[in-house]
Amino acid sequence: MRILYKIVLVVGLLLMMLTSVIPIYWTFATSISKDRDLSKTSRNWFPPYPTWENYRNVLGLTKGVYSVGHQFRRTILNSIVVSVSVTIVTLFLAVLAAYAIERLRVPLREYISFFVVLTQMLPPAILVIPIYLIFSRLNLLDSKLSLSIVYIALNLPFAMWIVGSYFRRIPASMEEAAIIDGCSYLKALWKILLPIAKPALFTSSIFIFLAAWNEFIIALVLTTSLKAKTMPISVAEFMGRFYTSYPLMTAAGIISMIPPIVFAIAFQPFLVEGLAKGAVKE
Amino acid sequence: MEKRKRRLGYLIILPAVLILILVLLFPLLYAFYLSLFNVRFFRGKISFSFVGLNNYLDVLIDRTWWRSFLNTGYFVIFDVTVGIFLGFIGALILNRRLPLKSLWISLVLLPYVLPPIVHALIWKWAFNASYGFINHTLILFGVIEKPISWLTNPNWVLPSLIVANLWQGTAFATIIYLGGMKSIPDELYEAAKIDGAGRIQSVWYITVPLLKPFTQLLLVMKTILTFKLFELVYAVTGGGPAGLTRVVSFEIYRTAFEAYKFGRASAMSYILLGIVSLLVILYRKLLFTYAGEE
Repeated sequence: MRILYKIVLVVGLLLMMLTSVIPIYWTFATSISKDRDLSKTSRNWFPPYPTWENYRNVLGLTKGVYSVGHQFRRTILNSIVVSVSVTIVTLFLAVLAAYAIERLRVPLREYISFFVVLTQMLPPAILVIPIYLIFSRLNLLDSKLSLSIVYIALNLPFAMWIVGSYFRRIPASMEEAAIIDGCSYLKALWKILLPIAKPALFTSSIFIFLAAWNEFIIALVLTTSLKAKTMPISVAEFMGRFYTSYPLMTAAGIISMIPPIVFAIAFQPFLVEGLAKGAVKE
Repeated sequence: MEKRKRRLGYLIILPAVLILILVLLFPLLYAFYLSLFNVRFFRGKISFSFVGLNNYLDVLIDRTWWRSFLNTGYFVIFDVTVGIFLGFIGALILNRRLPLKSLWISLVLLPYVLPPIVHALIWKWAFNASYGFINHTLILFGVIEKPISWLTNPNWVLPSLIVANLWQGTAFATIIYLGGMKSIPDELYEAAKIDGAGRIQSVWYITVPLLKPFTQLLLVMKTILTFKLFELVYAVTGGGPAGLTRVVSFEIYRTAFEAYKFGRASAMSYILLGIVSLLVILYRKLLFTYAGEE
């Protein structure tokens, strides 16, 4: 009976892991195949002549006609710039807002929950129509800055909520002594509260970064040129309109998975905790 | 002192409040305004003509729209039944004492953290008729004889996308349940064991009831999340073949940015928002009274 139970457990675990990994592995195996080897790759689950050539091409590292490569590289760069700046600014604003609510008695706490629920519930398709029209009137379309502002707005409530609920758990006496000694509020926040709240800052920054890195529909509508287009839009182009080759498409896909995969492995406990919290909030 | 404190508070919360009002609330209200107009967008110029509630009425009798709702409904139904069930089983397995547990959890987490567009790419490739692993595996095990064109065959395309969506949905359920299971004290299981309960009994009488709040939460979350489904349809099938895979978010996008009917698309958005809110309230009410009876 014990052995049977163990077997069921191991088989279950194995099935689960295979389901998770095989689709990704299949994409990877294709990405290191030559175009003409595709049928062999799919028959043997591995390319006969594995090569990094597709990665060089998709990143535009080879000389020649691969303008797609140049484009993809630009969009990756845009994605990095947007995701990093959105993370920093959102975190900064969220910390200030959370401090105002939790310590300076600004009575807006209930509104945070409202906005958290709103941002989670709202299909982005709804938001993107008015924003597109407003931005087109203000000449703000196709810019990394305006895309970032929308992402900041969408991520602020969650960050405010994570940071705020962490602040609340830190006893106020921690800073009160310093403030009585003449330390300013903002200095107390910076020197005393923030170092303690590091885990909350870290969890929220992972989530903000991933949200900005992964976002698709808003970027699809708001950006048109290489000036602002982000990586997911480029990946979509590889999948359809400018169809080139499966190996290139999969290589682009694999490259854009790198940050999420690294995060999932390196920061797994933070992600799991944040997910559980975000869900419980709703 | 107290006054200065609060003044500083308002000052430092101001940027966040402004952004939320200008970038979230105002556009939402503006969308409602738009929904009352026939908005034409031509060569960068916008013209409005007031039509009252006509956009809403038009959408409410539009078959394509309700068809896309039904399609979204299929995704929701499978995600909240199969996805929640498999997620529960997955969490049961991962909640045991296992070597390399943290790595397994990371791997389970993968489908959920990938960019949705890459999720779409992976499954477009997996379902590819000649090179996809789905056909290869099924032929290998003798389930089918000839490759199936999953994404162009009208009978298979929706089930295929539903499977692709479950890949992500199950991962989410597993993680949420796993968090819930950690909060159940071991003593409960030990006590049950002493009372002679088997493994299956203790899961049924301890784990399932104690995880009920998490199940309720998953029901609500999954419904909301599934109505956001867009990339999978946009990039894998483009709504086809013959409009069979159009979902609501895709339909709104198409109406706004392919047909340039912004007023109508805004009306769609508000109808969608109304229905999603209604579903959420309904769920909560049902589940709440249900929980209250115990």
